[in-house]
Amino acid sequence: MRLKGLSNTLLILSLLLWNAQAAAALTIEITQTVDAGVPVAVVPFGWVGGGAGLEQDVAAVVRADLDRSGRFKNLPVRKMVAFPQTGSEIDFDAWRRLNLDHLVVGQIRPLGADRYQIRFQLFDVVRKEQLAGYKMNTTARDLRTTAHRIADIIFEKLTGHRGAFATRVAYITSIKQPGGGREIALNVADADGFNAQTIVSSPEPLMSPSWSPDGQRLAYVSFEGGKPGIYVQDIYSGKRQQVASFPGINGAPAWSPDGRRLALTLSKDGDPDIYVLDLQTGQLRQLTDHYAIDTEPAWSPDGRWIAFTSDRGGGPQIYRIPSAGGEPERLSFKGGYNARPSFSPRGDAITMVSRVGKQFRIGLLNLRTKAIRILTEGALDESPSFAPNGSMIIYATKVNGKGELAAVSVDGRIRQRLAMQVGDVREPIWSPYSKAQ
Amino acid sequence: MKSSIIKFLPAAAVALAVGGCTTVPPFGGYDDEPMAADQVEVVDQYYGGDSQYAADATGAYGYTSPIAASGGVYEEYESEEAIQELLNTLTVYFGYDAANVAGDFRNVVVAHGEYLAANPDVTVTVEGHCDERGSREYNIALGERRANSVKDLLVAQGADERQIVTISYGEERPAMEGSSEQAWSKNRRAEFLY
Amino acid sequence: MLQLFKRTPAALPISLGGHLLVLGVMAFGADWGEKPKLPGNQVQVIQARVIPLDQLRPAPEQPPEQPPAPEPEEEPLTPERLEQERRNLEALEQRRAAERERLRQLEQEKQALEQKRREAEQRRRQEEERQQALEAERQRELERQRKLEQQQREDAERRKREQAERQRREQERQQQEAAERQRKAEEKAARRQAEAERQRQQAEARKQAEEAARRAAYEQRRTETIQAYSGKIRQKIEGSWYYAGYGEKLHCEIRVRLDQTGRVVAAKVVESSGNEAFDRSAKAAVYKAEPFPIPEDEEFIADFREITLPFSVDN
Repeated sequence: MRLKGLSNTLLILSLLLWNAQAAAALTIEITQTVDAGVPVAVVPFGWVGGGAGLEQDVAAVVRADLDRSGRFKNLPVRKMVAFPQTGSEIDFDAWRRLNLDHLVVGQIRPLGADRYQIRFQLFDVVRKEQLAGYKMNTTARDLRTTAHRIADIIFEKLTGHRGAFATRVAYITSIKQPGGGREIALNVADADGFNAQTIVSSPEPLMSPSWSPDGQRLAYVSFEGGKPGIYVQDIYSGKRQQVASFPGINGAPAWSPDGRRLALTLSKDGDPDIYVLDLQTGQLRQLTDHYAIDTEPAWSPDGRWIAFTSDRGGGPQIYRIPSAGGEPERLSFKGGYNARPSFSPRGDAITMVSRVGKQFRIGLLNLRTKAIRILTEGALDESPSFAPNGSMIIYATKVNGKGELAAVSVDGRIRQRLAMQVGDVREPIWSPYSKAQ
Repeated sequence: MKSSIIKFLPAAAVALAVGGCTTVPPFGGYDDEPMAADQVEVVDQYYGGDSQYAADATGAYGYTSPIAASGGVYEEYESEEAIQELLNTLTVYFGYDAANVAGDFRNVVVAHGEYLAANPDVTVTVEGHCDERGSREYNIALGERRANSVKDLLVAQGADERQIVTISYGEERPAMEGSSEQAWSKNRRAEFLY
Repeated sequence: MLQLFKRTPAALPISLGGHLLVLGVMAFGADWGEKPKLPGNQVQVIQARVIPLDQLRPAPEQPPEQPPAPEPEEEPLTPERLEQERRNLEALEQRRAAERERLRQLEQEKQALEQKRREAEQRRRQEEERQQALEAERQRELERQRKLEQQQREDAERRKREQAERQRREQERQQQEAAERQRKAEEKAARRQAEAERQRQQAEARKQAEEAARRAAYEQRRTETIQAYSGKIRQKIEGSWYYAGYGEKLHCEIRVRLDQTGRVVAAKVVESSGNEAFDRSAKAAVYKAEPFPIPEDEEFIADFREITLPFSVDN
């Protein structure tokens, strides 16, 4: 509303200016976009070969990715007026009449045993121009990944931001066992919830997974053997190593951006404090020293800072300390409970758990203004982490007493549940961009 | 076995306990909620946790050390059955975001402390637990604070530190499933594992 | 100056060159300028002429036509010559005595003449005095006569003046009366003219006021039209503007040229946001908003011929 008023003022101002100088062109300020996803149609990809074609609907994966980002609105297949496979087959005016901005067409052709080539083109329907066109070779196993890459290209072309569909999410599940007790598992799945794989499972608690910056390894806390320890595990080879097992708490591992160090919480000297462990040398450096709780360290993307939760001021709040050591500085000042910080990829914001009244929700702390914005509406939302392109925040929520994963856009506008809903799901962590890309 | 269990009751706690349940102040908005209001946010009526809050509000970090609590009222327990009952109690419960052992649970911990002091070859693991609210690692720290609070009280009774192992599971091992006030109050606890 | 050199390094050599040039001109200017010419040809050469003193002396005795005496020959001093000299001296002495006598006689004659001149002068003065007395008497008589005539003339003149004055007054009175009449006539004419002018001005002012009101009404209608249609255009563009980006403050400017029906003839990104996707989304919104709602009133269509559209998001 305020924006509208401002633009009216601007309009009048520019009119005055216009009257004073008849030669000047009329100026009209445009400040509002349509508050909905960008209309796009991803036409089912054509099959150029014999037989029945592929079981995997590649275009559907692309469509689902774009939908999930919350920034696009897909035209349902049943409403499509035609099914062009290449640019030359497109009747742009017909698509434009459907109020479409963009159109994706493609073809899949077999390249022999289990190998395929996918061609796709992205068009600006209004301007009738091709914005992107690629040929990609893939295998049956990688069809979904290739589809995510296509979605990434489309996303980048239409938002100016790198896509994060071909990334992954690590998370913890807790499944009741027939004989009583629970099986706790650390899993990795594609960002859309497919291709879920269990990395490690245990009857004892597993918690606090953290991705290495190269996306190859996970650090986590395991209570196996009746006491907490911090482990680092290669997700491909399964090889793992215990890196911390001190008396008391061994918790909250956080990988440094250079991948050489882990920040963690230890209470070996009585109270939980933040330490930095050099993974090569095993050298341990204490960063905070306070009788209050200091925990949940998170590195800034530039590696210069470590944000953490501390109740040194009475209740839990977000602080930061130079990763090289120094004086802690409080960052969050609103609300009685702000905890578990995680930096945005640009380092300009921190997402965290914030209590609102009796509810625990996902907050976004603007580091420049120190303003806190509440992004979610749940009662027990926790463990927020940014997508590597900063567009979404994945977090854990409770639906009917059961843990589920959800994602919210950074503006809080779009929230949705994610697919990996087996048992009680929690502690999602979005992977970095994979090196292979 | 000599039965002289001493019950510590801080005067302030008594005064508040007599007054019944602490009234719950209206929940503030998100902005600048004062801490004191936070600490009484969920009143543990089930276990009379309200008196703990009162004591809690005076302590800087949510628990009052046993030493500071001394100077209270002395009361003797004669019944061996009563002592055995206290020793059979293996769980003590805490108020929301609180770590001090309060109310009747002090008697339980004191009984275990005197038992450990009398049996130096016995060891115990004290587990600290939290309800599901709030962030997980912060709850691990909070659970440890509860376990340590119990341990300090055990040591105050003459138990040796080496007899006691503490571990915090935070909210990872709830005693009761669900997201109700009842489940939460059951989960904010410390457990003795002999 | 120094700043000029800093700004344009070429200025230094140029300036130096200029100064050197000026110095050169100063040094070699004599060759370049007009050299005053010596008046060689017009010089009047005065030939020196020595004038001997002898010639300056008048020589009346010597007859101009007399040929020069022959140069006496050098003779030896003989007794004949001595005698001759002596005789010459004697003759010279005699001539000098005769001359002296002649001068004495001349003096006597001159004194006699002077005596006669004095007597004549005496007589002339007596006669003159007599004449003067006569003249004085005549003058007195003349004076009397003149005064009488003067008196008569003055009387006549006075009468004449009085008469003239009367006439002048009469004339003046008549003139004043005429002038008054004239003035009154003129005043009346002026009043009539002023009235006419006033009426003309009133008419003119009315006309101008009407014109201004008409123009103001037109401007108001124009402003209202522009405002109304600008709002419609903004609504239509904002209703067709989809942008998928996030987390950025972006601004671009598109200049649009429309035809008479509101169709986009050309749309050009004149200021990019730096985000290609954003710029493209703005341009697509412009094309999707075709045809632009523009006034049907022909006189305002020109105002919508070219429109600048600043697009901005802060999300």
